[in-house]
Amino acid sequence: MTTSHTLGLGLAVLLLAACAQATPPSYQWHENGATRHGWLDIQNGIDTSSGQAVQKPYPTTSRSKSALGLPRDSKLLPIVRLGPAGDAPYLVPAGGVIVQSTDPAALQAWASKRQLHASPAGIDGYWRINTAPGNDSLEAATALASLPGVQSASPDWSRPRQRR
Amino acid sequence: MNIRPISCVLTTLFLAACGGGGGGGGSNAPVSIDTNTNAYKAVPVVVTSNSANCDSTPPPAAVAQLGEGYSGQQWHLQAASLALENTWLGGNTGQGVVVSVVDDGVELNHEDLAANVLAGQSRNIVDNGKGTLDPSPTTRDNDHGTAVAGLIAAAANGKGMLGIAPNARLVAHNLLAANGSSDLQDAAAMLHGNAVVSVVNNSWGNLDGTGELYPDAGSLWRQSVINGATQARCGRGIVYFVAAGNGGEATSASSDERSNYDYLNNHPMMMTVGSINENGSASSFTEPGSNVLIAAEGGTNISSTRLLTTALSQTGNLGNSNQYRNNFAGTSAATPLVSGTAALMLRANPALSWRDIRWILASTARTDLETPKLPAAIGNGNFTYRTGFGRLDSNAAVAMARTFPGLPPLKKCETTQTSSLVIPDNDAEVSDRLSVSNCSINTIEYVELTVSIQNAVSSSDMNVTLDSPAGRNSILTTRHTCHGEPGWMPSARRCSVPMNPFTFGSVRHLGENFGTGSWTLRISDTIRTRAPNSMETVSEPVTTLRNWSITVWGH
Repeated sequence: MTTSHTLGLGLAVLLLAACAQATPPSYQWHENGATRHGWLDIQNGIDTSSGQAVQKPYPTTSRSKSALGLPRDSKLLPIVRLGPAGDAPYLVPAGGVIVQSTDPAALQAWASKRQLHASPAGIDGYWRINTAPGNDSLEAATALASLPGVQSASPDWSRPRQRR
Repeated sequence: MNIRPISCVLTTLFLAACGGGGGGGGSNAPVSIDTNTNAYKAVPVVVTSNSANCDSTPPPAAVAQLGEGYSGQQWHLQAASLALENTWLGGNTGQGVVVSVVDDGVELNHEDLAANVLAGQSRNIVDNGKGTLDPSPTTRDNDHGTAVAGLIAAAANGKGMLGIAPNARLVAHNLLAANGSSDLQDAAAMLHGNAVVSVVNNSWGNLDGTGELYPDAGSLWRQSVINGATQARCGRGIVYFVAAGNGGEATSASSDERSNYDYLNNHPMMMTVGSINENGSASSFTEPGSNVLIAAEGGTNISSTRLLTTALSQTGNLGNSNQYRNNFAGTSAATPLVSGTAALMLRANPALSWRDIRWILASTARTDLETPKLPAAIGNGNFTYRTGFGRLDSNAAVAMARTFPGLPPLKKCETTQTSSLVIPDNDAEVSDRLSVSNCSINTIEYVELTVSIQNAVSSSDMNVTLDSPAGRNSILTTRHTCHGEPGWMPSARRCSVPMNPFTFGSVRHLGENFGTGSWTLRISDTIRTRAPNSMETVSEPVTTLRNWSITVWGH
């Protein structure tokens, strides 16, 4: 009974640990004045070299990339799913952050401190920060949301499109 | 004795949780990303005065006539359908009006399009490897935009076929050429050339047939459409049309989808176009929705009823260079017929605003064969979710446009209400009421509803309906099934994108008196079964409506 108990709990702990790794962490960003929630998918990604979605296992070594036919120097982007399910629609932080702000000086200061650049996005009140694709854009958008004057700060997502 | 069940429970929990969050990934569609060039750098500001699309003198009359090339096979132009010949022979062929085709590129030197292409105004937005001004397709896959462009403005040049507005001018933006686009690119496509462009055709959208909600309107895209509609053309606004989508048919790879699930169609300044067949019935694929304004000929799944149009050279099935095709169908085909009609309307009366265009299209639409008919406050008195206010009547729209005095200025009223409405998972309908007070709108043009529902496991087992003070209802979402992307995962699955928040749009109340009563939101969370046709139900937690808001646009 004791052995069974220990084995059962041990198995459960192992399973829960594995599960904790697989559950995508929540991610928040601001758009149109609202806080939006996504699920950062750390197990799947996009290979920027081929444009193809990459399935598990996430290839991290040159050899494993080659095995999947990916170039050895390919870069993998995390994706943010719009629902918690593993096959929910997703967005890709393609590079850059779109910021709606009434304080462009604060934006410029923030950007230059990180050797980035804030440029007008072409519509009054909107700016673009030239962050790199992937985590850089996610992290920058999160940080920018708390700057004074910022009403909205969103990674510039790449969205799948369909001809109708 | 109790230990085994505990570990089993934990294991079960693990399997359930991991099943929901682990990834699968098999349903992912390829998304092309070019990290060096995908950020379109020159999003234009809106030109508000001295622009060619509102200040220029209307060009002289120009006529067109059926008979050239394959035009006899263009069933949508014949007497039983749009029958535009008298409008053309009267001197209105859309001359001088510029229509932007936002698509996967257009073959600008096509023999039936080149004469109408406005030089120097198209843009290579997603970088196809050509120059900045050249969005011509570089692969055979990008053949969609050329077909769309021909339906709008194939030239009256004795060759090929005819567009709805055979002397309108065309510009192209190849937003779809990379199978994925960014907010900055989307905004550029909506606003580029706004000093000359009057109509923007969008025969595209988010993925159809998945059943999922697409709530993620890019903030820049959303604002670009607002700016284009309120500031361009000297304040009269660019006229934006978008296809309803082709996921309306419940099949193994599709899912009785509604156009209300896509933020593009829910935008208050986008006009959504559905599809009808040659008989005036709704096409089987066309998506229903409260945001569907009108329907036009888009064919069916039967090859003989598809539309004839221009094809990217060497990809069609007609002509010496296979530069024509007779197999184009979908809401993609219906939308350019309405865009072309808008060009004719603006040629008839350049002072029309985009809202005037919407009002006239709804007012002049013909009764179609779609049922059930719901009472409407405008036009033929009917509204259906697949065809909106009815079947496009181009001639009637142009005739009404000539003398239309214009709608009063646009107003907007917005009210938000916090709520703690509990939504039980038992099919029972619950409701909440909201009063939009201190509002000077007399006549409704468009309504937006934003709901924030907490803890919903799935959005696809919810029914959401909005009732106006006048008692007309807008069905916004109904219980449905989600699928993987077409061709990837035909088996049914749970939809997972939450309505937290999600904004729906409705044009159903166009022309309705604002009234003095309350708006009523009705929600039911239906009981889900484990699989289609299964009797085994799935217990889901009770959810709560956290808050909801209504934005009424009107005059």
